[in-house]
Amino acid sequence: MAHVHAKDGNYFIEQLCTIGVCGALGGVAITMWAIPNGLFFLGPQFQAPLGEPWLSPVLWGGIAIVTFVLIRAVAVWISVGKTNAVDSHDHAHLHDQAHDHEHHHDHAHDHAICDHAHDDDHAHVHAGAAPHTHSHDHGNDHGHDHGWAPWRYVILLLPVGLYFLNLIPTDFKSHAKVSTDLADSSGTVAAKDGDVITAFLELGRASATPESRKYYEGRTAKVTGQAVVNADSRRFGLVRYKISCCAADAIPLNMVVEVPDNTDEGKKFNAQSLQSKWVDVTGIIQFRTLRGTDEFVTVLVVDRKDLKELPKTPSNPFVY
Amino acid sequence: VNDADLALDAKAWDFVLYFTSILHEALPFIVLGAVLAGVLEELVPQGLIPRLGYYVAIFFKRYLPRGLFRSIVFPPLKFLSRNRPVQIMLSAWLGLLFPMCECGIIPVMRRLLRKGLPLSCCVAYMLAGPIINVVVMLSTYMAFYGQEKFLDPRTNLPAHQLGGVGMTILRVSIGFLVAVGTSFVVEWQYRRHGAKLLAPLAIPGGKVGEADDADDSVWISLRQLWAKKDAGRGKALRSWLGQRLANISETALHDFVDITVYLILGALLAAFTRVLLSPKQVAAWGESKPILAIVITMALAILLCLCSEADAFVAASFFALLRPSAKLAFLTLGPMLDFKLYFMYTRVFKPRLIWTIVSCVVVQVFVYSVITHYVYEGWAEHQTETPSAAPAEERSEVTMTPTKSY
Repeated sequence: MAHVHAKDGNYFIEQLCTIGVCGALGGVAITMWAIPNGLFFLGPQFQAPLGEPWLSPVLWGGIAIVTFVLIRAVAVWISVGKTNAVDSHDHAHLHDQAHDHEHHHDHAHDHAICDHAHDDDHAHVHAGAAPHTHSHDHGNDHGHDHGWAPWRYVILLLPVGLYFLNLIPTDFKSHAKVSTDLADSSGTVAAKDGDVITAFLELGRASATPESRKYYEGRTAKVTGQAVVNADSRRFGLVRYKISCCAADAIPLNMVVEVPDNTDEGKKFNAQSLQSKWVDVTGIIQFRTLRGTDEFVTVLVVDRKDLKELPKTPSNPFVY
Repeated sequence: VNDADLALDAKAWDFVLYFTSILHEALPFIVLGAVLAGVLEELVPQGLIPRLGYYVAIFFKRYLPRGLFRSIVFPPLKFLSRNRPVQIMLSAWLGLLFPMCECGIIPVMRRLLRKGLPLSCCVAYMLAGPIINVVVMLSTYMAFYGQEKFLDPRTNLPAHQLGGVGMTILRVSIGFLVAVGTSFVVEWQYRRHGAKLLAPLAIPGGKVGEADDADDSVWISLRQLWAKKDAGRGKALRSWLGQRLANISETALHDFVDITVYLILGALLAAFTRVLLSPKQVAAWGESKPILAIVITMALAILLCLCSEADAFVAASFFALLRPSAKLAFLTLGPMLDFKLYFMYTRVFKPRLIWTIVSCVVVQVFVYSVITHYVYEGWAEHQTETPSAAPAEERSEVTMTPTKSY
């Protein structure tokens, strides 16, 4: 391949860069799909449409790009063979090709095909190329448009670089403050029978209407979420993010966990140590307003012993 | 390690998360757009699209009874082929037939433009397509489902928000109006300035030298191959097919690289914005100032670069306390203009046309949103003065299921 560079400079360099970069991007897309949890930051319709992971658009986008890269690689390989066969007086024509990156240059071979095989004779290749060499419009057209611009490939390699530096994000690391400044409680809520609620999403939206508050109040919930603490030592926010398409549209689902003072264990509970930890809590659902507003929030009243710190991020940190 | 360092570290991770997810969400659609662009460029003969009406007319003339053709089919065809405003209005509904999101639509539109589809029709499809398609309409409906029953959390009175049906209808109609209005201006500009408005690659190829012949030759050469009856035909046909594949792959990869560069730049800016400011807090500034809220949501639409399929969920949640007009402004502006789209437009249009489109879209979205605001709030006030007779118990049965929407 060394003489390729020597012979026509930018056209083939650009083709090789395109092939390399596109192949890398396609490969990253496919591996992101293949590694476990790789696509959790996208909505379910991207991870597994209709419940089938192999239907993932990310996978098929990657496959399509890699396929085109392979076809292109073969085509460039063949055209390199051809240009090598053509002797030096053809240089002008090749030079023109360098500016004419549209596929038209390939029509040269197209015309040749009418009479057939590639290494037939150079006259045909030449004749076919002639109209394009004379088309100044094309020359002008593509002059600005396709100037050899290596910076574009640097930008394109950014996602590839992130992947190889192992900067594959799994969850949100910084969280907005959650207000735990509740209005004074109007007494405890009687526990109610019914199924234990385990869906964070269901619970997060339960505070919206008076009817749903009546329906959920007093029931038991067992949920997993990330702790967001503020100055409050007995209460902390529990947050999880709901994704519809991608993490950019993630919506934080918040609730407040309250741990009543319990002197049995001798040590007073302090929420401060839980900052950003994943916790598993089981408690009774209440709805209380934030101090000074009429805005209801979901509050889980959790006994100290029902609060478990998880050793690591759960397998899927998001809800959909 | 102190807290400030930790916070910065966390922000950097979130930046990577936003960036990666925007990119990987949009890539499949860019690939689809690029492949379609490659196929269009290679296989659609130059000049087919401008002459499409003519070919359709010929077809009907040949195969329909004379009387029927003359009286029923021909007049509307003739009307359509000569009436640019009607063509523009129809193009705005093309998204229903060919649903594309706003990223994938750009490479396809650029090649359609090259093949001779009128610029104003392309712009109408490009602007309205990401709003007027079944997927986006459904997601808007889902996101706002049941919101008309919401109570204002501060007063516990009906909040008079728009529900799924209302928001979808308004989004589609305002999107249509903005797209068509902008396309009329673009048509006027194009008649004055012509191809100077377009980036080199988007200039209709019909006017460029011998490109016409070159494109038709794809099919002419196939016909010549087919006519040959000797033993070499199979090999020659395979070779023809290989050449088409090679050309399609070259165009597709070229367009993929071209658009993805700008997608990445846009995604970087959007991720940066998202890390720097919280949309919910920004929206809170406009809670009691509805016109300011429209301006704020429009600015957020440009900054956040959300996909038109997802933005309704964001609007329904982050802007829950804003008036419907502000949500509407967000939902109509977002699919037509944002950072990544601006970057992509530079690959199709010259600055003059970009700024024409940008200013038309922004001004129209603002004006229509303000008009909607006054009309809608007038109606809502009227509703408040004549409260519905339904007692509270009856209402509670209807809204048993939680309606807070995400």
